[in-house]
Amino acid sequence: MALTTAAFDWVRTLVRKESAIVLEPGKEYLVESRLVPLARAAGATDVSAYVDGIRLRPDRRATTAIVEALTTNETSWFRDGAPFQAFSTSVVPALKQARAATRSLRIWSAASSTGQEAYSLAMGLKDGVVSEGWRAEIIGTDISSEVVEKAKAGRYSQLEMNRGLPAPLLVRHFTRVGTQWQVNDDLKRMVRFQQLNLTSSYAALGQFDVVFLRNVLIYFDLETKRDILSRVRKVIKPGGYMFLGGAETTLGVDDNWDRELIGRVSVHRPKNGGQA
Amino acid sequence: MRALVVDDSRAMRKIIAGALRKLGYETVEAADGAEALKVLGEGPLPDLATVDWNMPVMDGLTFVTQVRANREYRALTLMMVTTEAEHGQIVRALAAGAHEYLIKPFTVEALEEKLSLLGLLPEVSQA
Amino acid sequence: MTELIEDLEPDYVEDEALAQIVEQMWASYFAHVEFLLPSFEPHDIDGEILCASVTISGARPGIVTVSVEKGVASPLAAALLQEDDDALPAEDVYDALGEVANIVGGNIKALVPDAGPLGLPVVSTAKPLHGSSGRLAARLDANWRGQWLTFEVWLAGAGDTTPQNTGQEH
Repeated sequence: MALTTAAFDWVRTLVRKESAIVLEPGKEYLVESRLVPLARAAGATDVSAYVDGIRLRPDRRATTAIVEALTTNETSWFRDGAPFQAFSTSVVPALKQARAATRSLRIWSAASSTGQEAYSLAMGLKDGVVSEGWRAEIIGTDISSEVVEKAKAGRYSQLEMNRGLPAPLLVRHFTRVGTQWQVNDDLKRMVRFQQLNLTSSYAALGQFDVVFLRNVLIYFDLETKRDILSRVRKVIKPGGYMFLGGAETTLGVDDNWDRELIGRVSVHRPKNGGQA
Repeated sequence: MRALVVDDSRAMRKIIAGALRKLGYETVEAADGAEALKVLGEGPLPDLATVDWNMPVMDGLTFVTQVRANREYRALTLMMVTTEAEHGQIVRALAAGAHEYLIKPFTVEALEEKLSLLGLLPEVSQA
Repeated sequence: MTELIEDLEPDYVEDEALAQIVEQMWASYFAHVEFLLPSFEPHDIDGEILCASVTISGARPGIVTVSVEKGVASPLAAALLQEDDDALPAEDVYDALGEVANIVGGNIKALVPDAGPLGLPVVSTAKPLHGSSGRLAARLDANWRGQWLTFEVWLAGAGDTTPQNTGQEH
């Protein structure tokens, strides 16, 4: 049966409380489809029954799992659109000038999950600077080795392929393999994935022109956020950029960044050229 | 904004038109490519047309080709929404002039995101 | 004497692929109702059925069918249409079932090399006949609200005749 209003409201309140994300009325379909795997794993007959069961006896693991399922939207390509536009149309051209001597760019996707962000960046760079003979290297890291393995494989289901990927890029960069789609080798070669906890050292990663640190700081407390931001700043080359998630900011957390607006998109530049 | 939903399945027209209306669209429907051309010829030009591929009378690819051959319809964005899922079919559709391609089954989220790519989301949601 | 070696072509379509396709369809359009529960054993439906099918043309012609127990057809259609009332006009029920076959069939077709366009759905009260040399490439039996649905993919081998979809059209 479909989610009752009461059940939906309970979920909305939970998600808002734990993550500050607001699910408007009308998003019942989103809740239903996102909670399907959890409900199935729990042996419920449908999502409605699953949610009602947890409403009656809330437990921390279940409510956390629900919040995560509804707030992690990382399975989209070019998530939120505008940051990738800003990257391709403003940041990369600016870097092309700044790095004209080396003709090489390094990007870090610092919460790369199943790889869509990193491969999206690769697509932008491939059709941009790489075609002009530049070298571009993208490093994708995530705390979960499971998603890192999936990202390395570069194989996605049809449902995943429908999520925000422009059709012309799909046909250019992917090939069908059975019921799934596989990233082509020439794109895959641009990206390296590895497991990394953001609370650990970044020393082995090298220096980057751009860091994408989107929608992951939310999982850390203030002190840890500060620590992460200060260490991220140290791996950004002079004149480099950091992208945070749409609702995120360094304000009140770390004042060693300058903020610039590219259209509606905020980018952060290390103050003092990125040195300690 | 206005959308034309072209699909021979009433169920699928209902799903797509319903999702579009929730996003703020006014919708009109057609059950095949020929009917869709007729609808285009009659009312104000929609902003978007979602087009199934396999339909009787006139299929979606033919409809797309005809629309793109008509300068009066240049402002109409065409998105195939179809179960044809081969790489080659997507290439054909894009070559015929479709702007986007959504493979069935699709979630409403996926539809929204495609519309966002096209700049055709009546309400812009913040990240 | 050398024995005739059976067709050694790879299995383009397997049970696993069919199950994935059906699951993705269910997750996209039926997330608001009870789950479709796959069965590990085949379950032939007794009694009256409604069957929707689409044909695959090309080098490996075939047919993809979805057969449901008569009593589940209308609720299934209502679920797809997101309507509360289970008592839908027959036309809407056939249309909805046909679209289910269309979605599954199109995704199955993408697994078969050199396939032509998908046929339009045909709905009938009997499973369609398939060419005598067509073989069952994949099957999924699943239960929804206590009633059975069966998905089947029949594919001809190289050089076989096109399976005929001879069910009565509604």
